[in-house]
Amino acid sequence: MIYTPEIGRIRKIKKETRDARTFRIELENKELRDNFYFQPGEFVLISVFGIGEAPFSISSSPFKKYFEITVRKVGNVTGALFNLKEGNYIGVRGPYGRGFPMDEFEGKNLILIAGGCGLAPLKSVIEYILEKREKYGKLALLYGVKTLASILYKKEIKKWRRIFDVYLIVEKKEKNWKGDVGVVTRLIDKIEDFKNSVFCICGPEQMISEVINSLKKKKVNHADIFVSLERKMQCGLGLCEHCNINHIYVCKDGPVFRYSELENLEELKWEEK
Amino acid sequence: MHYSLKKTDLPRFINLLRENYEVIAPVKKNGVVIFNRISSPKEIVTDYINTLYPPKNFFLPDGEILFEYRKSKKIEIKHPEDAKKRVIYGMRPCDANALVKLDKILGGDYYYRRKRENTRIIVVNCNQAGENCFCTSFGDNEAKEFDLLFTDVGEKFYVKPGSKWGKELVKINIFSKERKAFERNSLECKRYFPAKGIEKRIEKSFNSKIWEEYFEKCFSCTACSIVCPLCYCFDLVHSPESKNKGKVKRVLSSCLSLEFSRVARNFVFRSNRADRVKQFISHKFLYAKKNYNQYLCVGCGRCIAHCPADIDFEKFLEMIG
Repeated sequence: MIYTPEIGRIRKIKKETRDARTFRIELENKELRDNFYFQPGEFVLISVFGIGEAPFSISSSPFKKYFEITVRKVGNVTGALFNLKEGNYIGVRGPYGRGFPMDEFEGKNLILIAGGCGLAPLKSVIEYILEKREKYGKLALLYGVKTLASILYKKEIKKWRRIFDVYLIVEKKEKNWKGDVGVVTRLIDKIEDFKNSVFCICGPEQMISEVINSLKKKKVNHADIFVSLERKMQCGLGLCEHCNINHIYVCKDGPVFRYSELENLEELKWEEK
Repeated sequence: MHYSLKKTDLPRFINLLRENYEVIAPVKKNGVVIFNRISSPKEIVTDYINTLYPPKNFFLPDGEILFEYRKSKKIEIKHPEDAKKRVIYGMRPCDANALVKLDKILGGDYYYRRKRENTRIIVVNCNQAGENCFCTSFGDNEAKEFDLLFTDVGEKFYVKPGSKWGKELVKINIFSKERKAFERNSLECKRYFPAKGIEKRIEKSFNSKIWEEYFEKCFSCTACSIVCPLCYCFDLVHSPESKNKGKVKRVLSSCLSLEFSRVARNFVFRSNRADRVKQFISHKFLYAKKNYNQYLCVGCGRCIAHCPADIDFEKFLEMIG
C-alpha cells in the first residue's frame, strides 16, 4: 500500500569512513527480493521505525538480490541507522525515481564526476557497466574529496584503477598525498575525448554547478550532461511537494536529470553562484 | 427530470440519510460555522456564506494514521480500517470543485481515494457572495461534480441529481417532480480578475521586486495553507508510542514554513520568505497548470479572510496582471 514500507533486513554493515557506512539490505519478501531491479541513480526510502524515513541513492549493482546504500551520519534517520546492527529490520520503499539512461549510454564513453558522498549512485553506474563492459566505450572517474580520510569505497577504487581511469583530487594538501590538490573541476583537463562522451555528475550542488560551467567551456552538449540532484524527498511519488524545483519533482522526474532539462529552471539559478 | 424539496422536509430528508450514513453538515461551534458530524438536523446552519475551514480535512485529515508498526522479533505492520459511509450536506460549489481538482493529483493515493469513494456530496448553491469570494474568476461558482445539487429558491430547494446515487435518492416521495428547470440568477462577486493566462503573468513577474515588496509583511504563519481547500502538501511522520510500537502519520504542512525545505545539517532550500510565497503561488497557478492543466485555486477567499498580515492574494493576482 502507498506509503507502507516493505520490511528489509540489514545483512552487512561496512565502515567506509569516520562518519559513513555502507548497509547491505535484503528484502524479506522472496518474490519482491527476486524482482528488485532498478536503473543506477534511482533511490530508496529507508525507514527506521519510530524515528523516520529518508531517501538514499542505491550504490550497488542492480544485478544482485540485495542492494546497498552508503549513509553519512548527518541527521536523525542516519544517526538511527548507525545504531542498528546486522540482522536488524528496517522499512524499505522504492526503488523510486528516474536513474541514468543506461541503454542510451551504450556505445558511448562515460565520464563520471563525483564529489564526496556523490560517488554512491555513480558506484552503481560503474558496477552496471563492469557487468556489461563490452557495450560501453571508455570509462573514467573523476573523484573529488575534502580529505583523504573521507574517500569512499577505497577497496573498490583500488580494483577499478586496474580496469579504467580513476583520477582523484583532494581539496587541501595532505602529508601522504602526492596526487592532485584542489577542486574536482581541475580534473576535467584529464579528459581526452569530449566527443562521443556522456557526463554523469553527482555531489554537492555547488560542485555540480562548477563542473557544468567547466563542461560548457569545453562545448559539451547540454543534453549529454546528466546530474543527480538531492532534495527533501518524502513521499517519493510527486505528491507531498517537498522536493519540487519549479514544476519538476526530483523524486519522480529525477533524481537524475539531463542538464538541458534543468538549465532554465528559475529556482536553480546555478550560473549566478 | 427536475426535482424539488420543501424546506420543511429538509429535517426528514437528513434523518433518512442518517439511517445509512454519517451526516456531516455546516454547524455553528464557538461562534463560527464549520463542517461537523451531526446527530440531529436541528444543528444544521443555513445562513452562512461558507464554512471557516474547507471540507479538506474529511478527505485529507491532518495527522491521519497511515499504518501502525510493532517491533517484536520481526516488524508487524497494521493498517487502520476506515470505511464509514458519509454524506456531506451543504458544501459550496467552490469546495466541491476543489475536491475534483484534488482528485486529479491524489486520485492514486489510497487513503484519499477511499474517503472520496465513501462520501456522497450534496452541494448547496450560493445565493450571495462573501466579501472575499472570487470564485467567478475561475468559473468555480458552478459545481462541476456532485451527487445532489440544491438551490435555495425560497420555500423550497430546487434539486438536481448528478450521480447514480443522487438519481436513486430523488425517487423517494419527499422529493417532488418539477416540470421545468429552474433558472438561477448568476452569482456576482465583487472581486474578479481574469484567470486565463495567469500562469504566464506569474512566470513573467518571477524576477520582479513585487514579490519581496508585497510579501514583506508575511509572517510565514501558514494560516492561508491551513484554510486553503487545495493546499495538500504533507509530511510523513513517525510517531512512537513506546520503544517498540507506534504510528506513522500524514501531517499536513506548508511550503510557507522554513521547515518545509529544511534538510539534514540545517540547510534550507527556500530560506528567503519571498521565495516561499513564490513557491506557494506558483505551485497553484503555474506548476499545477503545467503538470495537471488546472489552477489550484477556486476563489473561496479564505486565505484573504484569515491572513493576520492582511495579505490579499486576489489583489496580488490582479496586480501582476
